[in-house]
Amino acid sequence: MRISTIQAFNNGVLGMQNTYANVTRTQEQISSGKRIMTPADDPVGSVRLLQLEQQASKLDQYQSNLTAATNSLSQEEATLNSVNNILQRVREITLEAGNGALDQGGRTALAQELAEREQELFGLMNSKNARGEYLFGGYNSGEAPFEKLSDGSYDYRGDEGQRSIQIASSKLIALNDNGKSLFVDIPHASKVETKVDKGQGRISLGEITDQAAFDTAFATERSMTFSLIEVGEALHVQPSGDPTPDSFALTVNEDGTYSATVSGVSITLHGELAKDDSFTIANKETRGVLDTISQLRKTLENGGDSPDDKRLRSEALALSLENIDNAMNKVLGVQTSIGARMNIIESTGNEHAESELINKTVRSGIEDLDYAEALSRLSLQSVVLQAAQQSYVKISNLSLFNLIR
Amino acid sequence: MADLFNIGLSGLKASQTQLSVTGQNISNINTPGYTRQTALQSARDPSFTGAGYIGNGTSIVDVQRIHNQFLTNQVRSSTSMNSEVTTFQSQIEELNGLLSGTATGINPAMQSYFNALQTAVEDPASLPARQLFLAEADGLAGKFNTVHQRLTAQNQFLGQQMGTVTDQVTRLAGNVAAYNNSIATAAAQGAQPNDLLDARDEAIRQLSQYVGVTVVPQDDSTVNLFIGTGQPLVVGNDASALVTGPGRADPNRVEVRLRSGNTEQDVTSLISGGELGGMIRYRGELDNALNSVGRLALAFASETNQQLAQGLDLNGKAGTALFANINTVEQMEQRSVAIGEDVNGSLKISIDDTSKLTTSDYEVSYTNGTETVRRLSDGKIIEPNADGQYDGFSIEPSTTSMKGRFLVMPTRSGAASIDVQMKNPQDLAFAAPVAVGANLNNRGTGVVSLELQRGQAFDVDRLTGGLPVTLERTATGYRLLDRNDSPVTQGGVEVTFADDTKKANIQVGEYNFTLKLSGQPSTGDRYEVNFNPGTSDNRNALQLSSLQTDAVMGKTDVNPKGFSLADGYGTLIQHVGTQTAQARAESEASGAVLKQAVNNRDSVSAVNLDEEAANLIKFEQYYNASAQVIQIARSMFDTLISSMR
Repeated sequence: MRISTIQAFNNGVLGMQNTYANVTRTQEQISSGKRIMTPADDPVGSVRLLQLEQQASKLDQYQSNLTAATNSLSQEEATLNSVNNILQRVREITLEAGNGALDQGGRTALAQELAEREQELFGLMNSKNARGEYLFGGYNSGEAPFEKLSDGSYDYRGDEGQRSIQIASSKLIALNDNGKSLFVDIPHASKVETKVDKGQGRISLGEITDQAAFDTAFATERSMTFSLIEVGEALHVQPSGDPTPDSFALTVNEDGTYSATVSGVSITLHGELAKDDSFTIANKETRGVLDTISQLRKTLENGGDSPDDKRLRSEALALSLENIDNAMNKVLGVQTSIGARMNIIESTGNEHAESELINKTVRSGIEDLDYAEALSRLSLQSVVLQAAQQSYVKISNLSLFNLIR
Repeated sequence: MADLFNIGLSGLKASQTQLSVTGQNISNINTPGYTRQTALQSARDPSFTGAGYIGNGTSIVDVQRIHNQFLTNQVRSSTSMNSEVTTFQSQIEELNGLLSGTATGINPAMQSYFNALQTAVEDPASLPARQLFLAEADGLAGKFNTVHQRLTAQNQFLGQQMGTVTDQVTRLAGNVAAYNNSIATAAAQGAQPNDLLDARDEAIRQLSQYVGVTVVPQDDSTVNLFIGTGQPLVVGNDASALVTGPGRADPNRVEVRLRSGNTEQDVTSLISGGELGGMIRYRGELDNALNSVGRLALAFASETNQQLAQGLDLNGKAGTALFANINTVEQMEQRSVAIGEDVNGSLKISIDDTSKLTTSDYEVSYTNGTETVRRLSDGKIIEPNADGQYDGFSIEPSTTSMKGRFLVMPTRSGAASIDVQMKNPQDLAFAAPVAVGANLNNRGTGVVSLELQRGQAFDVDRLTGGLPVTLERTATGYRLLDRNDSPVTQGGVEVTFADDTKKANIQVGEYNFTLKLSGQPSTGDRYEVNFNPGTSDNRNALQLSSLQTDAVMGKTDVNPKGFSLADGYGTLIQHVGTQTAQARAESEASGAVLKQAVNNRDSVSAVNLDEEAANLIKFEQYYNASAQVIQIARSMFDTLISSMR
């Protein structure tokens, strides 16, 4: 084939240009350590990379969410531990107060300690986290969840909110527990509450002896008022506006007290009873832990050493003990749940660490450079470039004109 | 003897010509398009003598160029193809880098946005976390704007480049016409004007760098040039001009027109090959990228705003929009332009469902009051759905007597108009509007949880006016009580739910929510649904964060599942990446073809210096020899004269 001079020059230069471009590109790859410089180098690989990067960023976010969840749950757990300690002490005090030999002075001393414990518990239940949000207010973390009312009872101001965050693509974990389920929604052991509305008489705490009759009677109206129509004869149920009251027989006991079973609740009346005295029996399924403690305190503060007082007090102490056990169980249940959540956090964290490792490996497989291959490629390309340059110089010197003298 | 003188002289002359031709070849070795020439020599007619015919020396009969028309054509067509592909490649490389770069792409901004949202989800009451989220949203909107600006700037730059290129085409077409004229005149004298032919071939080669041309040779040695599908650029001595101007279909897109005499024809869609072809082809990709990014921005803004409208902000007010409204009057009007002159009225395009948007543009035409909508990506006529929407947008004509054709671009400017309008971090509605609580006197183990429904806004006053409501367990099921404990009625009938109801759908003040019932409630148990003033509620923010993975785009009748926002962007990157990779491969291939074609042509037509050096020596010796012949003739003559002394 005939080769024109310009062709020889062009080919030589083009060859060198191409080889040089290859060398530069390999050098670029080596200096960056990446095989893929732009998506066009490997469109499928780079979209895969994009997805992997997204996954990595999400895993990162999940990891920091896990840390946040751990922090928040640890704080809650620590607070609940303190709560448990207080409840433990309150339980001891209750047992101690049951000692029949205890005189009024001893009871007052115990009541004073209870008051302190009540205050301490109240403070714990209104704990704040580092950001100044109340721990146990549910969604309503801006205001104190527990408030002491003027009559000495406690009110819950929060809601039942439980905040969750995402810790894996389809896994949410709860960050907090609300005060209602922890401290308020605690089963009241006797399920009833009694109180004297009018008169000097006294009423026992009440005990459900016929659950079916109780459930029917208290199905809609959760509280009923009774009035005494004749001492020693009968007790009328007088729900407001009911023209035909039901009546329940009173039986006289040996010790001079009266007993009756009213709508499944058995009560004992004693003290100075008179006609038209009235009492309320209410269905109360739950009682807050603070209310339990404050009632207990009041029981210890008031009341003397008469047999009536003693009977009422021992009933009240027994009930308080049960309620405190219920409260402790509730706290324990939540502590268990926190422990379980911590386990989930840990296992999810491990999962993420593993996914992250796999993600990194896959990413590196797609985008990272095989240095051994790249370096040997570079030396081959350099040799080719050198050869191209040397041969070009040699060939371009070959001209017949050089020989015409 | 006189014959010998003449023969010697003719040799002398012929070798001189040969030397000149060789010199011409050597001196033009670097001239673009030059074809080596050679002088054809033949023996003169002999004279008859008694001894037979005796030769009369030599003469140069022609100077020819060593040329193969087929090879020249090949160089031209592969030049045109190569420059189209390399132009396309250099443009799309820029797009490729812009979309995927960590500093310029949208993806990193989207990730930061969702990361900031996660921080806010963890701590919804925290103002710094909300502020960070607002800042990231601002950053994301800014990224969209920047990408849009860069793409629009590229489009403007393309327009200017097309102007320069068409100027070159016009100039070269004029040159070819002028060469045609000279060549026709010169060829009429009987010989081919080699250097003019070379110059014309070179001009056509340069022309094909800018635009693909078809060359049709004529009998009088002139050529006619056609572009596109047969639009005449040069006919004989007459050249048309290529000019650019604002497009009639879309003023932002420059269109290319062929001007011959007083008439102008739009040839934009007809042109192929050369730089111009590459640029026009790339503009399609650019439009697609603009529409894709625009659609993403629209979906982002619309979905975010819709979700936020369902929540409550830190002050217990109904959620407001984070991003600016996507359907302002100005934007609705900008989404369409009239095509051509015979038009009456204008259109407002409102985007109703971003999940159904495509990246295509549409042509809407009115004939006798009938509206026809054609999707330009596949050329299909599409019908509106039951809500009067075409692919997620609806058309509002300005008058009832609409006439003419309109270009509708629903997504084109989406990325330009996305903007964060919320200034106050307290206004982010991360909380759900209602919360449910169980009564403390409940005897059963029933648990009621709340399920929020997506896609409904609410009026906070009407909602609070209707709350609280209470769901009460009765012997036969559940009933709903209002704030005064009297049964809620709907159309005169008490609202009740059957015993086995697992989900109770409730409406309060036109706001719908669902209570999920589980466990074993006892008769008389009550669950109260309240307005939720909680500041630490993150339920709506959680819903918002699920936008990262939820399929909210690209839902069609064929593919009702759609894809997520991130995937929407990934698809674009993959498309552009694939196009770029393909352009690289094409450019390499067409480069190789061009190189081969040039090689083939040069192999035949270009000058070889060694050859010319050998010719120089040869013709020098030939010259010397011819001079020697004259010398001999002279000495013969001298011998004769001296013998007569």
